[in-house]
Amino acid sequence: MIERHGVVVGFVLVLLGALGALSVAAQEKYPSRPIDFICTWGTGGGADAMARQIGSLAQPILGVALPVSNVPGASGNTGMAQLLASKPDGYTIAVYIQDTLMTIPMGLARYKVDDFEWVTRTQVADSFLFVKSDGPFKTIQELFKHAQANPGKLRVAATGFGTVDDVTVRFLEKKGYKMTTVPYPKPGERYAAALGGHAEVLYEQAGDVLQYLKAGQLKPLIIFAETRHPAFPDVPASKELGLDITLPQFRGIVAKKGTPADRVRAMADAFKKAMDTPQWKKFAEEWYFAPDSHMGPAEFSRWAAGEVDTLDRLVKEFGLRK
Amino acid sequence: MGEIFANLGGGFVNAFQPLNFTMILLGLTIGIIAGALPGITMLNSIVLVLPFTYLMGIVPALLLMIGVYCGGVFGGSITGILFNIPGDPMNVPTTWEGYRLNRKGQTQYALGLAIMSSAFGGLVSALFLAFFAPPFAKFALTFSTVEFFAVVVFGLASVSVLGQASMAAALISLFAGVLLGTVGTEAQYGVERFAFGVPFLKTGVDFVTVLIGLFAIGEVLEQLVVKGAEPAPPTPGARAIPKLPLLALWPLRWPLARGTAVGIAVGGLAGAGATVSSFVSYGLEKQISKEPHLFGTGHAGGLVAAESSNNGSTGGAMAHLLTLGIPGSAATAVMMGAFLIHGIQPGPLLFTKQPEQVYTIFAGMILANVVMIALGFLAALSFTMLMKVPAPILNTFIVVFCFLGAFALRNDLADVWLTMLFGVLGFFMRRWDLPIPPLVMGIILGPMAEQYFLTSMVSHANDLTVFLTRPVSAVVLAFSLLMVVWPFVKTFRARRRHAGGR
Repeated sequence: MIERHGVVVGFVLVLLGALGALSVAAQEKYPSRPIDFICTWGTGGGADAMARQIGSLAQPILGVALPVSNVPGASGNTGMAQLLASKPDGYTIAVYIQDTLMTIPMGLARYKVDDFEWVTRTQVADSFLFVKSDGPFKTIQELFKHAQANPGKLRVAATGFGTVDDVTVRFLEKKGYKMTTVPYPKPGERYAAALGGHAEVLYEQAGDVLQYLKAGQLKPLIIFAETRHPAFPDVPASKELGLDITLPQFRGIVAKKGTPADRVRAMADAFKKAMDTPQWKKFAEEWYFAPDSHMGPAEFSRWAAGEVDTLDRLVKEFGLRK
Repeated sequence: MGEIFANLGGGFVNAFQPLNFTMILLGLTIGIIAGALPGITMLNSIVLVLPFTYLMGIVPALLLMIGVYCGGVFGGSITGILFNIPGDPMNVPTTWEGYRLNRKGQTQYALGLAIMSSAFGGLVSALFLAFFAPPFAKFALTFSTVEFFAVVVFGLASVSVLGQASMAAALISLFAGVLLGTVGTEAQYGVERFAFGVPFLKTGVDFVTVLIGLFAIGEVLEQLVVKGAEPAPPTPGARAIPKLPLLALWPLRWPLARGTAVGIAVGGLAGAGATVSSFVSYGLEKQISKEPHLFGTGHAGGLVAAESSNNGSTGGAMAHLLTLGIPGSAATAVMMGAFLIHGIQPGPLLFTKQPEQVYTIFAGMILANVVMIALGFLAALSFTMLMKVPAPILNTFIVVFCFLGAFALRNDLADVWLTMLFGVLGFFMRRWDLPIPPLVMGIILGPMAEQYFLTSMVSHANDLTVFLTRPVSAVVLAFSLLMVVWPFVKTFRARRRHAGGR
């Protein structure tokens, strides 16, 4: 019964949203019509789950729907092109994640870090290398040994070229463990490649592949972090192996530069409230987000700029940029 | 096996609960209508219902979306048969035969065939899903981008046998589509192609603008200019009721079986959905058929193969989603979103942890395909009545829906202009006898083929022979080659025979 009432309320909400869109005097109140939410990655992955989760939680707070449209490709930059082609009026926002940020220092992005309003950082999570549980590799040492003996033979399913995934793979190559990055922008294709043995290794965050971990199909070999993760006490951290690379995956929400400050504020406040709900807390726990994930506009833009500097340094240090 | 029957029984009990059953009906209705309307695709409507499902439990949510999915895959064939305007890309091959049947005065027969073969394909694939999903999905994992590439190439090759037009014309149209598909930001390396610095072009040309422009707007323009050039379709009178040719399906049992099998197989491979399977099935059917020369003139076998195949793909795609947690088509990817929003990860654990939900979904899908016969019948009847509406009024509405659909793609008027542009192109293609379906397939399959090819190359150290050393890929590619070359061989042999003076 509650469900049906919910449906009715939902219909009314969306109708109201649609009416808002039709009204000419849309300038007065913000938001007065649905906010287009571009997810720069395919349906069914971590970025998509985040967008839909926060979108649905922010809907009652903002009073308008945040319909998510998936525009995957080019490490997120296909969707970014769409965001940057839109009007900076606060009615188009997009998911922005670490992999996409990485394309700036790699010279693959056609924008700068200050072309965006950094609305909210919603999550930070460490990345792992996973292999098939019934595969030949039991430990990270075995994997590295194989990579040393057969340079470039092992394939790592990753989100794309010039992404953090790719940089980590190239970092390992510098250390003598040469593997090949195979880009699969759609998360589903990435997991299928790992499960089907079409890529021997998968670079991913634990929350994204939780079901395969629980079902015993995949297992983590290494976490790229300073310390081990409490949920995976047996998985060595990169730092203890002397691999100084910790590029935690972050996901957040951005708008185009020039969006009125009060609208950015309104969105950021709504997302903050959404992230304080028990539903989000449960979601964050299931996906292994760091507890201090949230950042507001000012903090997030400073942090993102700093992150680009770090990545820039890494890229130069390892001569990754061609 | 007994356990499956017991679970499925429980599933049916759940699926018949008022809320669940209502969602199936509602979903089917939305799907069939949205699928039938030009400009509003099945995918649009499944994305549109997604936000409503946030407020329901996962089972009614999934049943609503399954309804939209099954109904939407069929719906486009109605407008395709009646007005030569396929509502969705997967109904393009259906249109090719169905509209011709309509012009021959066999409107009811064509509609009935479309309904029955859709329901049959969908039903068999839903049953297949219920009984064989886990082993099938495991098998599907052995396929990689190499095999996907081969299947997409087969789809592209099948375009060359579409209809009656010359091979040259079909290939011109196909490659124009492939070229259009390259516009925008390339997905692998992020390179911009043919964007000319225009922000709007950077995101590429959406195939929906091409589909509705070429088919719908083009058709409307054609009717404006060449009024009465073709004899008006027979006005449906008292006998406007679509026939449900249960017995008439018997002679078509082989195309039906082949179409359904192709649908399940192709639908179960990640990345290839209803559109690819309907084209592959149509192409295969024409090759196997004893009367390939009749294809494109209103051949019932071609229609049945295509239409059973696109609905047949639904079960395969669902098997992939439910057992692996990996969506095998754009539509199931949206359903994946629904699962995630409810905090459920579809995948290996779903079967063991929530068998009740899984089997309710199976039962719901079986039920949806049975109910679709009745709802499809009603929808076909209603749309047939539209044929009595004077063309100027009807065409006005068609144009409105097209522009609405184009605008809704990304709330950008540029897409509406693009649709108009493709409308004009569609008009001239009709004049110049350039077939339209190859172009639509080119823009859909071209980018898929490119991505699969590039990924395969990265994955196999740029070793081209991988396409021939992997058996499935080699066989499918050989069939593709055969499909393109066979017509030439046949002509050559016919000529020799003549020369031999037999």
